[in-house]
Amino acid sequence: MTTVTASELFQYLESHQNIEIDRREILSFSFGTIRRNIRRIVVSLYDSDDEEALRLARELRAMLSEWLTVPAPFDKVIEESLVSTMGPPEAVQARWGKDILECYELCRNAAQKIQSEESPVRAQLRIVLMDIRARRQRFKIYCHRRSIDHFQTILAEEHQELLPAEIFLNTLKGYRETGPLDVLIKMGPLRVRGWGSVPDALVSSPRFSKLIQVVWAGCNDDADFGYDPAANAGMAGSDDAADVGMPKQNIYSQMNIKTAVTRYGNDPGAFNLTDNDLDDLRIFSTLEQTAEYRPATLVHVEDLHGIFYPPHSRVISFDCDPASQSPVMLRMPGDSLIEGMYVIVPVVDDVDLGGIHARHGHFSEVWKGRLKEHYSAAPDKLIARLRAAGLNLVNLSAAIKHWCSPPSTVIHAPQQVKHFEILINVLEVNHDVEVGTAHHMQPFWQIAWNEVRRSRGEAIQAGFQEQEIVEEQLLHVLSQLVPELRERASRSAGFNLAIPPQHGIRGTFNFLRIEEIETGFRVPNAYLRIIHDIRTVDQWRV
Amino acid sequence: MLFLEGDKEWSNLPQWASYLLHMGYSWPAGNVRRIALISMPCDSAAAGLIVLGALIRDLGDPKANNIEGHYDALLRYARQYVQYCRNCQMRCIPEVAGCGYTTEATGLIRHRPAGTKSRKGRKKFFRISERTIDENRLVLTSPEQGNLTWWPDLNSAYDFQVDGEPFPENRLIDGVLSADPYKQLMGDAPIVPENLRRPFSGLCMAGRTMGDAATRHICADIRFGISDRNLGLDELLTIRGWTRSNPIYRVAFFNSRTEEFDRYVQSPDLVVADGDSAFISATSHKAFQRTSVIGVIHRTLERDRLESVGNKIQSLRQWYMDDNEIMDLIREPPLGIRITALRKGT
Repeated sequence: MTTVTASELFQYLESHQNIEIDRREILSFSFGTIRRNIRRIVVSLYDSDDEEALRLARELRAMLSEWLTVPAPFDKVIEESLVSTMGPPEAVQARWGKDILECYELCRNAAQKIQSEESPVRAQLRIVLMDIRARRQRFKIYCHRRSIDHFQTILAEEHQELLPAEIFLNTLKGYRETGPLDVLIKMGPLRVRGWGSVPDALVSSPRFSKLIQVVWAGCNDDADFGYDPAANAGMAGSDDAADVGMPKQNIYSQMNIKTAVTRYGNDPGAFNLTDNDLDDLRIFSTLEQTAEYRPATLVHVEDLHGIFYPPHSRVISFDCDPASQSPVMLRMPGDSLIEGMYVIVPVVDDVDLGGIHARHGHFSEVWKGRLKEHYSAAPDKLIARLRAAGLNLVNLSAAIKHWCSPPSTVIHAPQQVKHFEILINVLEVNHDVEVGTAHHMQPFWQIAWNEVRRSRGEAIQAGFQEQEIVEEQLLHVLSQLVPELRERASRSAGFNLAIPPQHGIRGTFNFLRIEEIETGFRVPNAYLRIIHDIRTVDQWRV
Repeated sequence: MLFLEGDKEWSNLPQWASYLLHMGYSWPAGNVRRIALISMPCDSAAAGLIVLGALIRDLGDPKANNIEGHYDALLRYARQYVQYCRNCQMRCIPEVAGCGYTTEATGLIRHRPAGTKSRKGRKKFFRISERTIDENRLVLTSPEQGNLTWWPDLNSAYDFQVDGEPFPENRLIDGVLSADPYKQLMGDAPIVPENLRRPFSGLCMAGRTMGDAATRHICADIRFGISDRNLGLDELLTIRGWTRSNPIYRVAFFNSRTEEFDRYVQSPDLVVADGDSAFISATSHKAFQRTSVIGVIHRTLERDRLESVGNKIQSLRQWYMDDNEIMDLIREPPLGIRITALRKGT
């Protein structure tokens, strides 16, 4: 990929002083029904202080947010996702009551009906793509990495062809390196953070003469999208402008950006007659604005994992670039810590862990083996016993399958300690595995939970001052290992390294290569700085 | 004069580069602290070009050398003391006082006559007189000597220093800069010949947090073809360690990550910050609290980083007003460059 020079970009801006945003708003009555009812369920569940209700609300919220921001086909996946998240209607009524059941049934009916229709968003995108092709225009699509498949299949359905990988942009870095284009395509609103978010630079530093935005009606652009601190006199995040779904003209007076809005859809009347088209993404983003949740940056590392860091965090990291003068140091995610570098997760044996140490995943082998045994012998029986004991996750079957998977970067296990304790007790591992010494006996679940926590990077957090001291020691150790680190990094993407014994610290360094860094999350304190399965992070997206 | 960026073709100096050079060149020296933020459409050597313009401006200023620079720094310190700190009720809570400074000026000046070592017994202390403001020059009084009044001049100012800070070096350097490239870059700019052999630390560049190499690398991507010579922007900036042959450093370098200078620097007149973190660091660092700051960012930054810069500008607005004067001095920027400028309120 070539990097565009400043001179080239200025030349382009000089010759393209008029930029057009072609905003195509899509309406669909069936999809609107799904939106409206999921929204009602989510808002209702958020009123609860029950952890299970909140967890379900977050899952539904993530599901709908994804459908609103990617060109997903109208297929059976929508209904299946609803059912696997909510469970059977009887269970929904028993657990959540009649009102929620009513919304759920309406959702399911609409999700069944929708399977006979083509997604109007996909149809519109196909028209756009065909038109661009016919005109032989230079174009790219800005989308989340995980939505590329949905775009790929838009043309494949009728024309049996895939779009080339290089037309997809999904990082700010990629956008920076992009040369001038004729058209940029974006599905969903221009949001600053969270679902469907894109860099402000799309509007404040355009590299295209036309932005075609295909968006579900009601999904408005953020009023201050395209923020430039030098032009806006420092006013960020002002949300007082009417939600007109387009950037304010005065921000870009120099650029002369004009937005044209066209509405398409099979039920235009629904826009005014029902609340189908309220801005779900905006409603959702206000639901978790409490002090318990902190803004966070997601560092997406290899092997489908991610770590959340609060603002201004300094992370022990390794830059394998031979030109780097300080390869190992504390860096700030998104600032000095960037894609291609390594996050170093020290798995240090400390007093906090009860003094019993074993290789990575040792104790998990025991309980995971027992879990697999029970689940394959009688899955329903196991689920019933877990529920009776209080492990009442809605989609327990899928969760168990996930927990059975072998340890990778982390040990897959329940998120909460109380759920883990129930799981181990139901599996009755306690009775036949002895751990500890005569002087220091601990229940198995405690030892195994510590192992899970340690794999998630929690051990290092014992006390702020202690952490600083340990960090200092670790940086010292790491600085002496640089040649070896470079050699290991050249051979494999991620790797582990035991801390040399002469340094007086026992443990391992896990080197996790950074694939992407994303902002736009609000995360509870307890979930910061630990390794998560990437499939679970969307619930915290704003 | 020709211009080259990266591995592209030589061309005439493009408008954007010319604009930034002129901006640095036109930036007024003076006692008012100004803060400007420039946003670019992409990452570039814009900060380096502004520094180069300011460097050429300073080469034409007979006062722009370390001797005069030290006197001016003391004078700025004295103004802060008399106008703000002397009668302030807060000790020292700048954010509550709303003064726009970050550390207190105690008004205590140390005197070490030339040729003496800094032994305790030989030091004398002076206080800043309020007459500094009326007379527009440094006026000191010595309580130890019956309130004797002193008016240090440019040469004797080197024997005075703010209490608690080290005395500056005052050494002569062998070597000379070539005037020709600098003259031609600004269309026959006047140059004071003595300045070509005098170091100066009144102009500073605050580098990227990624390190000195990152700033140098992007500057080295820009080259000028001047009278059959092919000169990199990095060489022309005369930053210590960036050029092999030149011993005359006319631009001090501030490492924004370690917050250290490449040499002794006391309160420069202007700092050009390359990047968002460097800008935030420069506007808050006590070494720059009387220094004008030009920050250069690019708009292809993450939202959080853009907002951090915006929040900094917003908080400065408590003590600063829109600087219409500077906006009149510099020309209308080319399409793609945005500028906001503030000046300290009085």
